[in-house]
Amino acid sequence: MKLGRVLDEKRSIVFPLGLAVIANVLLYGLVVFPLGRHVSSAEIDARTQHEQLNKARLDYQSAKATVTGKQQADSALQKFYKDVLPASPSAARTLTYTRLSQLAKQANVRLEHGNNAVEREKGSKLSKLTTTYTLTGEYRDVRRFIYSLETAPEFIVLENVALTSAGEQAQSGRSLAVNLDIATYFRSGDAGA
Amino acid sequence: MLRANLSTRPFYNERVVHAVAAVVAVLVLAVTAWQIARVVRLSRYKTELNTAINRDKGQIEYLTKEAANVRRGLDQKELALVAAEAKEANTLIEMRTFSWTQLFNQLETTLPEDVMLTSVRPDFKESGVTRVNLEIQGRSGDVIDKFWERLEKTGAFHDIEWSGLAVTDEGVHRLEMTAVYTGTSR
Repeated sequence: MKLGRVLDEKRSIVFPLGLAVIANVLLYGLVVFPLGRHVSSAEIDARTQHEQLNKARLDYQSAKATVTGKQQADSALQKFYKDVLPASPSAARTLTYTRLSQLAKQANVRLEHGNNAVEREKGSKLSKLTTTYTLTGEYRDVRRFIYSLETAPEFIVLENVALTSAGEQAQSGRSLAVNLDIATYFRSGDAGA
Repeated sequence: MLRANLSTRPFYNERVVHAVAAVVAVLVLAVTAWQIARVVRLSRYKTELNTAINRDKGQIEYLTKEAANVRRGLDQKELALVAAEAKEANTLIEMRTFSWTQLFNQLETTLPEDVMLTSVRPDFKESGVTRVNLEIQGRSGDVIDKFWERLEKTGAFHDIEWSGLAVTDEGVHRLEMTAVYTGTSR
């Protein structure tokens, strides 16, 4: 009863305070809380948009990189065809005949016999000149010849090394007879093919 | 001394009532201030977020269009051709830089006396993987097993498989071994 009397007697203070409390509750319920939820949702949207923007940036960079990469690959390929590979079929033949003879002589091995064949690589602008040589010499000289092939500045690829036959090895003592498949490549267009 | 209050409407402590009212008023004011500040802050933040969302949307649209324009300017056939040529050139370079000397050094240290290597051929068909095909012959299956074990122990030969085993009348075993070779290139 005492509280009722106090509230009654002090209503000039209690009433505005009560109104202020109700106004605060309404402000929270109708403005602050919904606004907070809208902001949370906007944050998610913003994050999603930002991720999509990053994806779009990567996609654009990838598209540009494809163009740049293609140009770089083009120029590197032209350099490879022009400066690294033999310029023509005759240059390729000189490489697999004269040059290999020189290397064999330097390595103290004998190129007994050989033959070569040109084949056009399937779906390629390149032709391959494969030379098969039978070579004799001591093991360390054969190794030296192989090393000189590896370190030669010219584009020569050693594809296969095979003993001519096991029987021959047994008969010829320290001397080896091996078949080597050596290849080089040149641009078919240069040959007018 | 008489302590009883004989009044019909006894006095109460007004100071306490005023103090409580003052505390409640201060609390209400504080909460109101906090709510107003929060509304202002959230509204500003929401505006910023909406601006960022619209800006990002615009940029996404621009970048997507630009990427499509860049791609439209590319001849896909030509691109595929360059890619194929680059792959071919890379394979050739891989073949050229393959170190036979290193391979022979490794084979020399692993080959038992009774095993003879009759052919060696690297294979570069699989991109980034070098396989080595070895044709060997040995006096017995045991020496070939020994060679196999030694090869694996070098750590340069993996996934070794054999095929085409033939045993001659003299008991010589001939077979072809294929291994993934990871010896470093020159």
